[in-house]
Amino acid sequence: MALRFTQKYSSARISLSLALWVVAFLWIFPLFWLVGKTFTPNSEIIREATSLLPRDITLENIHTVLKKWPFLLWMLNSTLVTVGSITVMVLVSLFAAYSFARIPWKGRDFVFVLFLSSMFIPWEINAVPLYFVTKYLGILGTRPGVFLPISAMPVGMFLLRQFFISIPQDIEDAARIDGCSSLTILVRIFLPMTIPVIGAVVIWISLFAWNEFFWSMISLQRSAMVTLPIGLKNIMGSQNIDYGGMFAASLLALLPSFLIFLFLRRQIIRGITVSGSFR
Amino acid sequence: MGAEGILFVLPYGILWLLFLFLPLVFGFYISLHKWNPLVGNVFQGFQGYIELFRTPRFWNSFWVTWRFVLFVIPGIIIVGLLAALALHAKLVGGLFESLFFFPYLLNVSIVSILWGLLHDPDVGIFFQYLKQLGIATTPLLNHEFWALPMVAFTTIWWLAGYRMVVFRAALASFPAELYEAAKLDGAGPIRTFFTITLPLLKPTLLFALVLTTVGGMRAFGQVILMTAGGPGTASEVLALYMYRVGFEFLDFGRAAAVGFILFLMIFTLVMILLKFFRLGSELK
Amino acid sequence: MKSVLVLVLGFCMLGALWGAGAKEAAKPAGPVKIWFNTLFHGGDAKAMEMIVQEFNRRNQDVQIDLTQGSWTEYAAQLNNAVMAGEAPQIGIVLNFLMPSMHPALTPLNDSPVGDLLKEFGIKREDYVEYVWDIASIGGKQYGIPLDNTLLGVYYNKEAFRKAGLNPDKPPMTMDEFVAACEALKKAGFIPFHPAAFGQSRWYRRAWYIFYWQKGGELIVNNRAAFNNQKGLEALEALVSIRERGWNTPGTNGAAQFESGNLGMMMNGTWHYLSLANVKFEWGMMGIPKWFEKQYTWGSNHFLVIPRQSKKQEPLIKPAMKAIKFISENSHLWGIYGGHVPLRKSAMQSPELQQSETWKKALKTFTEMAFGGIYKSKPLHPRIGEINAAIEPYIERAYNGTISPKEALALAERDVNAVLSK
Repeated sequence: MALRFTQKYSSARISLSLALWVVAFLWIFPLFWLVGKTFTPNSEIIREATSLLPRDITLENIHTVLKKWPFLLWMLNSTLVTVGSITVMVLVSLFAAYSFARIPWKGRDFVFVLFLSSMFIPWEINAVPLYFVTKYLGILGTRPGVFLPISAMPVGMFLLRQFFISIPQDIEDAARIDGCSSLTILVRIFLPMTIPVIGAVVIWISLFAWNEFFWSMISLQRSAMVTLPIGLKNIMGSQNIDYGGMFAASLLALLPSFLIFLFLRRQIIRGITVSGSFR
Repeated sequence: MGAEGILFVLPYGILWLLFLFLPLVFGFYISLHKWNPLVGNVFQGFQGYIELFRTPRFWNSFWVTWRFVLFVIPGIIIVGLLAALALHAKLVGGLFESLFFFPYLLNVSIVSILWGLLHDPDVGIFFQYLKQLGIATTPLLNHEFWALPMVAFTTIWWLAGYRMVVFRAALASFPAELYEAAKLDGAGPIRTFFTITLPLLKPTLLFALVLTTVGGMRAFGQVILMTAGGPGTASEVLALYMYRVGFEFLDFGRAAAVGFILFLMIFTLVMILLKFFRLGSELK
Repeated sequence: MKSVLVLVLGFCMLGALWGAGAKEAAKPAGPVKIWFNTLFHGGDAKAMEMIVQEFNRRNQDVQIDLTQGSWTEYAAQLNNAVMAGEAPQIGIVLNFLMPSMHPALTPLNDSPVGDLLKEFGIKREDYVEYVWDIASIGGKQYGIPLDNTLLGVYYNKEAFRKAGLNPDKPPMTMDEFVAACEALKKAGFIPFHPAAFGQSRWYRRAWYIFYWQKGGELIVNNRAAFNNQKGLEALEALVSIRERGWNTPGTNGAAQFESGNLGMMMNGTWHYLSLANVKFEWGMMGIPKWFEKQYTWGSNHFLVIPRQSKKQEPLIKPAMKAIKFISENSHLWGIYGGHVPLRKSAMQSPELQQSETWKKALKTFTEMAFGGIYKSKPLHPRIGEINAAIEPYIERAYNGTISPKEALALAERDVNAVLSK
């Protein structure tokens, strides 16, 4: 919507913008508060509850937390789970989506809706049965035991299938006349165009896998396997943590997300926009 | 051709079968038993469900879940929509979008710890201000009425940014000519919104409604980390109750029953919404 | 053909991932690794770490992997792990959970690899006998007593001085206690926190203590027996803490105490190490005799070996070796963890009795444990659900949302529903 100068800077718009900026500031305020408190020594935290900035800046909270808890290990585990989820989901979804979009077979649409409807199964209720399923498959308490169930979510297959359907039929027809197999069409022709949508899938599944809580909590108990959200929960439940430590732990945990957001903001938002347009 | 189609679907199909479908069926199976393999499972049919319906605590979590959802859905959708509109009208720019969106990238532990600390009576600045303004005397997370809305508010803070981006994409896709025509007719921004924007937004809004409802009814992490279902059981949502019955009372049969009921609730609700607003066609 | 090839490759990749996962779960070569999952959280968690580290240092052929499980889910996680054949080799079971948990445990005198007690020379006489017997069910011994934990009242000696109270004569009767609280309040301190870290189970335990001190019993003849005058007065006493302004609901007592703002805190034996770094002088007074009798709440920890799958059976003996070590070193558990060890040699060890822990807190705790002041009842198979039925109402009464009378009536209703199943 192009606006003329006077429209753009009318007093109504200016006051609205100001109000919105105030709201945005309040919205993000908790994170500023978090940073401030992380660098506040424990003795000050309780007494100076209403102040934002610490009187004596200290690194002791961060230092204590890093010494006590294996943050790097937790981040490594979360990364492995996320990478595993991405790899498996993208691979299997590409093939499945192509089949649903482009290959006619009996019962295809029924199966598609069946798979899709599992989006409405609350993730949490499968946890206990999943415990036994993964046990019989020999992957209980391992990272594949976490990322394989995650990659079973129908999101990837759904988004890719919607996109494939929107690709004009003639492109494919021409390829088939040339004698290309389905696999060639998928890899050589569709794949290059699908990158943005794959990006959207990657973003969606990364967020889900990196932040997954319930199933990780139940299945990843060995200390070597714990992921970041569960590590944080353990810190909270340990009753061996002071306030400064809680702030420091939260700040450290959000650092990766913050850094990624800083550098990949545009791509992330674009990815969500793409997935959103298929709703 | 057909065989190839099935072959392509097979890898995903196996994953789906093993990790989404099988657990659901197995969970239902468990719910029909008094489940304790170490001592011996006892088949009891629907007895577990009947007992559940006779338990006041179950009904408490049932209504608490609805109350939570009633706070969270309008919250996320309205906040997301207003922010998207502001962005679309170019009242604010990319920085605003980033600020609103960022919380979505955080995991539930960080969000819950942060807001729990904000509310903490000894440390939290949120509570201190409310105390100074004379509004609150007890910490809100420990307040019978306000605990749940506060968890809902945190959830909104966490998730609204995502909706905002989706809504903004939808707004950007609307044809400009309609807006030009409206302006020529002399329509103000409010009238334009109701006569043009809103009807165009309908499918997006309704889809958002479905997804937000499903997410809201599943809420677990932020509840257990912020209030542990308290005070008392004032914020004990179904997912938390299910977890408690299983992992604290060690009654996995009954927990599975709660889980299955939750699943039915969500499934039924979604089917109703889809049918009612005829969104099924949108998916095809 | 090409499609088939690619699909086969894809399956191979999945298979590789699977294999990698399964391999992670299998035991690596080298020293035998046993998994010890605990439910300790406070200062005692560090104490157990110390003991385990010492074991690992001294034993090259067996290494312990120590993890801290979540307190509330611990029993269920253990049960599930046993069912799935993935249980830890060493676990901790509370005394009141013994009746419900023992099917998941290996009988130590009748294990799949023999009589472990005999082989490792562990006898009943080495321990406090009545606690040993709690884990004796049907002639089988399901665990070794590790310790006795109890609740006591820690207090800030400097706060006492500032409030004009004698730090060497803490309040032991109701009148003295009320006077002390009022004096602390006047001096600008938060007088008293009845519930340790603030979770709802601590408020329940505080009420248990008041109720027991009035001579009440919780469950009699399989019915709830607390909805009576004694229960009501006990609950009203708990609620009065808030009403008199002695503390705010929803607060974390340990955090208040450690920051120096709290006069008196109810907390347990485990808290000793957490207070190592506070900047003020503190003491532990035991438990005041607020009412007719003197009781405090507590529990016992048992070292157990959860049932192992056939594949895991070779780990049973190394696990027993580790348990023996931990038990023989439970004087360290007392010194650094603050609990009352139940192995007689540990209780009588000079190192323990000359430690700071003993002088500041452990001596009083031990006297309470064996002086008839410690109470841990009922030992009911459904105690978890019973406690959970009572907790929300106690918490609500403390918050002021419902009246004590209502709270007890509702709790009685829910507890009877649990008992009648």
